[in-house]
Amino acid sequence: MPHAPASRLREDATMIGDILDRPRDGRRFAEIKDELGATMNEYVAVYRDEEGLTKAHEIVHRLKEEAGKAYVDDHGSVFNQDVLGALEVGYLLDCAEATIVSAIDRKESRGAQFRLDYPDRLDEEWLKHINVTRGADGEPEISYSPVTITKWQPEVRKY
Amino acid sequence: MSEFTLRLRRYDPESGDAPYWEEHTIELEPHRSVLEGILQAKARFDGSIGIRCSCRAAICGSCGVRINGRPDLACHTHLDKAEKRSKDGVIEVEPMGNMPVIKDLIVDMEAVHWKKIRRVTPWLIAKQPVPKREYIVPRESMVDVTQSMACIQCGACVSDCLSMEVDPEFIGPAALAKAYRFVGDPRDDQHRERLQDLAEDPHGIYDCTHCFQCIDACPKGVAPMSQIMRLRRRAGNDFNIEDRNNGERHEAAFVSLIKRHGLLDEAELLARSYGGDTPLAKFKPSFVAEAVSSLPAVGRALLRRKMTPATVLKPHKLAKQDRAAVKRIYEDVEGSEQRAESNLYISGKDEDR
Repeated sequence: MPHAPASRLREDATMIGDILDRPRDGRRFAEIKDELGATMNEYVAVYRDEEGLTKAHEIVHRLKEEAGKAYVDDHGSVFNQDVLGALEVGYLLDCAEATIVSAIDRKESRGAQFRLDYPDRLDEEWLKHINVTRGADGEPEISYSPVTITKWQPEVRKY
Repeated sequence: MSEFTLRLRRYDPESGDAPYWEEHTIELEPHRSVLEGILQAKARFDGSIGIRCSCRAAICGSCGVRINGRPDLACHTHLDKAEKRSKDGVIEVEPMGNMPVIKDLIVDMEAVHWKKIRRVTPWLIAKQPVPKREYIVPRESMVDVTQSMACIQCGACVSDCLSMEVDPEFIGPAALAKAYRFVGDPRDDQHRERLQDLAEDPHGIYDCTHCFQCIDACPKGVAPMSQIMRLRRRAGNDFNIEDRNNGERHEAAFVSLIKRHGLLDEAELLARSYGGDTPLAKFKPSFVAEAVSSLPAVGRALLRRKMTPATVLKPHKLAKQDRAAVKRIYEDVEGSEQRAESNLYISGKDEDR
């Protein structure tokens, strides 16, 4: 098991304490999770296009801001699933944003991404991984890495 | 979409307050589960509602609760059916029984259930030498343990075990079903040791009272009580383990007394349970000692007319032709080569709800 340094644990304790102490004037975490789910379902399912993805990105941006001020109902220290849910919403928002920015970036259709505005598979340009990392300003940054091809040669799937 | 009202048993261990009921009205299609209803109440009205859940498909065993007084998986119970079974149109959900409540619908599975599971050595103790490749076992012997393998450790049977309510140390339905899983496995090398251990334990296989609650409770058709009875048959009939709890003798006495009279002879049953399965049991010192120490129980039995001086002297019997019918059942069971195991997976009469 990797060992977490004490300083990291203190940071986490502060973060959890901050969530517990928030006043009830923002939104509830469950509302944000619901809206995120509906948004991803509508704009970021298999069939996507730039317009929808951009709209989804704007919504996720707003939800991230709202999550920074959202509050929990449970202030106890025993089996507090509400705080756990709040932390999970944070991770969900990160994953959603990474999914959206890479989906916008990939201007082709491949596997579970069908871009209505770019219906063809373009191996010359897009046979590569998209990596999303968090930049210094907290915004997602895109980089690429090559695909390792072994036994199975890439080819267009025909059904 | 339909509206349903849930009445949830709430408990906050940090508040200092007693448990209380709380109602929430939720909106879902009638075929959705009680768990989804609870999660909607948690998302819309009160994030502090505590309930364990994971798979939402009746396979992880996390969301065991009592719904309208009966244990079940919250994800395996439809809202419309739960409403129909409720006493006043409100679906009542409370934590499982026989286990301490941690918070709201969450019980301490570790304190009771997992402790008991570990008690029965829940792993295979392989015959030596271990083969280089896989063990080859006959298909029938694996079918034999399939029912006990269907357990998902939800705790529903533990929740409503009446014996455990009386004797909290009773190993209980889930752990004993798990024990059968290895006693019935031909690769295991410790059948006798396992059975001896469970028969001699005063909280072991003979502590079950045949109440059928665990069979009713189980959402996966494991029929824990049937597994306990199979453990007894293996212990008593196959390994001839005569336990110090008189469990084996008690059972043998039942079998031979019913065979003779068609009805239970309570006075003789007591004698034979302690003195052995013979008409001379009542003269044996082991019974006399027991009889003296159980005089209060005998007194109560007489008071409640479970026994009367008349039935002690002249036990009641079935009519002659009925006794002949009982005798035919005995001949049928004892005469058949295969022991009746009432295993749903063998008989094919699966009544899984």
